[in-house]
Amino acid sequence: MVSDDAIGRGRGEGCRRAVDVALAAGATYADARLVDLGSEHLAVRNGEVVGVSQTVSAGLGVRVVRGGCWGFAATADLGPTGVQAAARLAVEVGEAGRQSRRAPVRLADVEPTVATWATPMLEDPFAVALDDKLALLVAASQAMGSIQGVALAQAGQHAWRRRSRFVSSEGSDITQTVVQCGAGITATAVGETETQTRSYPNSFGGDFGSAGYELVRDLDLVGHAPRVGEEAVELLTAPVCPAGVTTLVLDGSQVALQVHESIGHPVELDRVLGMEAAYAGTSFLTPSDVGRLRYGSPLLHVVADATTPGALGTFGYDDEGVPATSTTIVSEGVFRGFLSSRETAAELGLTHSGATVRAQSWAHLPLIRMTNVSLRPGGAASLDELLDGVDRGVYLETNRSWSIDDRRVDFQFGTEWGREIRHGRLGRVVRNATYAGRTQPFWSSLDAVGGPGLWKAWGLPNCGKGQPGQVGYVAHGAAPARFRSVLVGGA
Amino acid sequence: MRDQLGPEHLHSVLDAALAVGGVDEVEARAVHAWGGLARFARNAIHQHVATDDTCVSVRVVVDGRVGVASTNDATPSGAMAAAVRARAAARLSPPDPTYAGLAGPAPLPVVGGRFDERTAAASPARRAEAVARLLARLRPGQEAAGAISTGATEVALVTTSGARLHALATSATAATVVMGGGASGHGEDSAVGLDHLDPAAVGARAAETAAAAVDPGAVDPGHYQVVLLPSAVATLLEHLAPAFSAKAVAEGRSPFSDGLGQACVSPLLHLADDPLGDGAFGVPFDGEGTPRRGVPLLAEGAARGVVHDRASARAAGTESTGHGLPAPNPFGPMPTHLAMAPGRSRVEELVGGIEHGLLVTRFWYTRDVNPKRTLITGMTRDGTFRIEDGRRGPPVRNLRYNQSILDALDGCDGVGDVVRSSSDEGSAIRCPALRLRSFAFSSASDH
Repeated sequence: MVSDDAIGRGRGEGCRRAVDVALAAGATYADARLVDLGSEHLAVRNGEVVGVSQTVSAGLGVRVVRGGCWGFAATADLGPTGVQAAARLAVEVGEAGRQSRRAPVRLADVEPTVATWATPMLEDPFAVALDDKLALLVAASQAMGSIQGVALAQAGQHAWRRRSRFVSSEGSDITQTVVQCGAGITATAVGETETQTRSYPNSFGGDFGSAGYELVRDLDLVGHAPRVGEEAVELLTAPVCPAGVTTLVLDGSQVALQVHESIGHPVELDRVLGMEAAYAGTSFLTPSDVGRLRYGSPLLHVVADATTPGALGTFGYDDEGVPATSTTIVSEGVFRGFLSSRETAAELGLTHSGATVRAQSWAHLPLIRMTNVSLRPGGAASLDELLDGVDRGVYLETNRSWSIDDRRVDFQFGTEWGREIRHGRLGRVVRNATYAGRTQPFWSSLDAVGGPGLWKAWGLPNCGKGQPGQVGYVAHGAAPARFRSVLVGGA
Repeated sequence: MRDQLGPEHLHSVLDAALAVGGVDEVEARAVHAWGGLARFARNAIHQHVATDDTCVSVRVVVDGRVGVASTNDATPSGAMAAAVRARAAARLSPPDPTYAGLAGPAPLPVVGGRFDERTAAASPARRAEAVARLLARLRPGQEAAGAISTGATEVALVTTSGARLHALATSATAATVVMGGGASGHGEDSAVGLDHLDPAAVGARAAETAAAAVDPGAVDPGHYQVVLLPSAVATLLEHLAPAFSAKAVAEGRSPFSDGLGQACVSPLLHLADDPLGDGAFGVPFDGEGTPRRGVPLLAEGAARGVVHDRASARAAGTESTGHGLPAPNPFGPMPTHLAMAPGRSRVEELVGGIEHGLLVTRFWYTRDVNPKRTLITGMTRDGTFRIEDGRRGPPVRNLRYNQSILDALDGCDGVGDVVRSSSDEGSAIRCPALRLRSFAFSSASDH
């Protein structure tokens, strides 16, 4: 593992050396990222520890513009020879693309920055005793497993620490430490024809944030475990969710995923410009839609804010050295702005990047990624207020399946848990619920959003994008919300 | 960069981990991966990367307690440091009841031609040339996005039980989506060597599909007789793969948990996990150092086998089939080299047997809805066509489907004669086109 001192001083020289070598080899722009990653993953199954793993990875990624083309090379050899070789290879890679270049790469301006930033936290998750962390997970797993009918009781905790040094040929020199962690539990009940799983606080491994271990303690996994187990068992004998067009109330975590798939991804400017067409897909949006396209109802306000305290997509500077910022995406239902990089901002004639660009590691090329793309809270003070006046409908909670087309229009989601709504109150539990729709009509059917007391930032540590594939850590602030005339089904 | 490290070097690094004191058993594994990927969009290379990294992972066992740590400091001291961290983790863990011991010495199966020197040493310029050959096959007005990749992997594994393994593998892939006139087409191929890849053919195939798919018409959702081209079939098989994990079967999560041998698919279908066959990629041992071997999965209309790692094999009283993933592995064994046997029908003949149906090039964003029923949902993409009176008809807009994989395969009445290597979101799968009597489409899109 590279030490703090190494990131701060000695290896920082490696970044500068890489930039200098790249410029000497013909690059017109160069940046170098030295990244030291540490992670810890704990897994408990049926009360037994089944996974304790720790990973460290350090290396240097060099990104250049040569002949108007991007080139990128990455190496784990942090000695002078390895750094120089990587810088020269990055230039060779850029040169190779010259013949099929579309237009020379242009970059939106950024003020050169010399800075240091670190995730605020109360309790470093890597400093908490391992046996304490495992004891919490074991207790939660045992509490779920004590419920009759629970076949699998799993608990997990993940923590990541990313120390980096970014140096650019434009004069930026940024040292940053981002710490993220989270945890979750799932209970699985096995029936004759199907299995049912319940998760807390969310599927996808739980909930995550840019924060210390205090986030995990605050989840109270043990306290929620018996309910989670009971609900998994209850689902086995619950009726299948009735199909039909009805009023839909979603919990905050499912609203967060809905934002992720049908707002967060389509507003990524690289997708809009066709750069991700082969893998992640494109977008139904076009550059001319800014300020014109009605995305949803007037209650829809969405902002991409990389400064949200404690959220998983929070940082100080992105991997192009641009300071974290907030961008309005949708205001009063009207589309207002994209998630952008220096390159895509310049292509659109924007004055500055939206500071969204990040790479999974030193070995990956930075891409536009969601930050904290959040639905602003509305006015409903409680879930009861959202249910009030709903004669017939369905309340759905916690994602189980998700699918959306390559332009981010036609979607179908399934959830773990459902309740019928009858006369303004929650009724019987239903299983295997799905709902389907199209992005703009769906968001146009939004007619109530939970207020600040119901709002929280949900961390998603599994956003895939790019080739080679990269995993991004993003978040979505959301509250429970109500939608009218939605097609609901049971699988 | 671009050079193998060799067995002597990697084993000497890993041996340092085996020397850690105060433990009962140690497994050390190194994966050295290098290569590059040229990504293109809007008919130009826009992202091109070259990387080189070696990851060392150490698993130690102390009184039946297991700990794992990994590092990319691929030096003896780095490996030892990882072993020390793994030992600390193991000492804090309770005994792992599923632990089944480490791999010992065993002869590896002979697999020829898995490593191509020229691909391992492929320069950025060679990848760029391959991109140019693919783009040269586009038609006027078409735009392409995709990637050409070349990669080499060198895997070494040693254990205190006597395993001492090393192997090399390469792969090259070409994949593209060609767009034009509001339509798109898809092509992909992969090979052990870049010289065995035909990017021009990939580009031509995608360009032809895209041209044919222009101006798609409306289509009603419903149940259709379909011909799925290999890329679409690969998606079904990728999502069926976990059902053949012995761990999923034992835990009641697989449709085969009630037993193998019951009729569940068409007898025309023969599916195996075939890591040793022609066209397969990768090294001949699994993540635990167990020699890989082929396992028949579907034959004569029924499930015939499941894949094991060391833990599931011990629980079942049998031997590992060489399908273990590297530790830590909470998922259990997994088939990662799926291969479906070809039939005798050309795609035109499969289409010829349908009076009214759909031809599907590819699926997109497929997700499990009900794993035990193998119910999945997703969208069609990159070329969906009507089949009318036994011929490919006009293109139609994309459709969402909600379909049980086993139910679909139960209705298979035709198997294509050409196997292609396809990937959806996971490893490459070799499979032919299939004709299925019924496939359930639940909604249609506007494109």
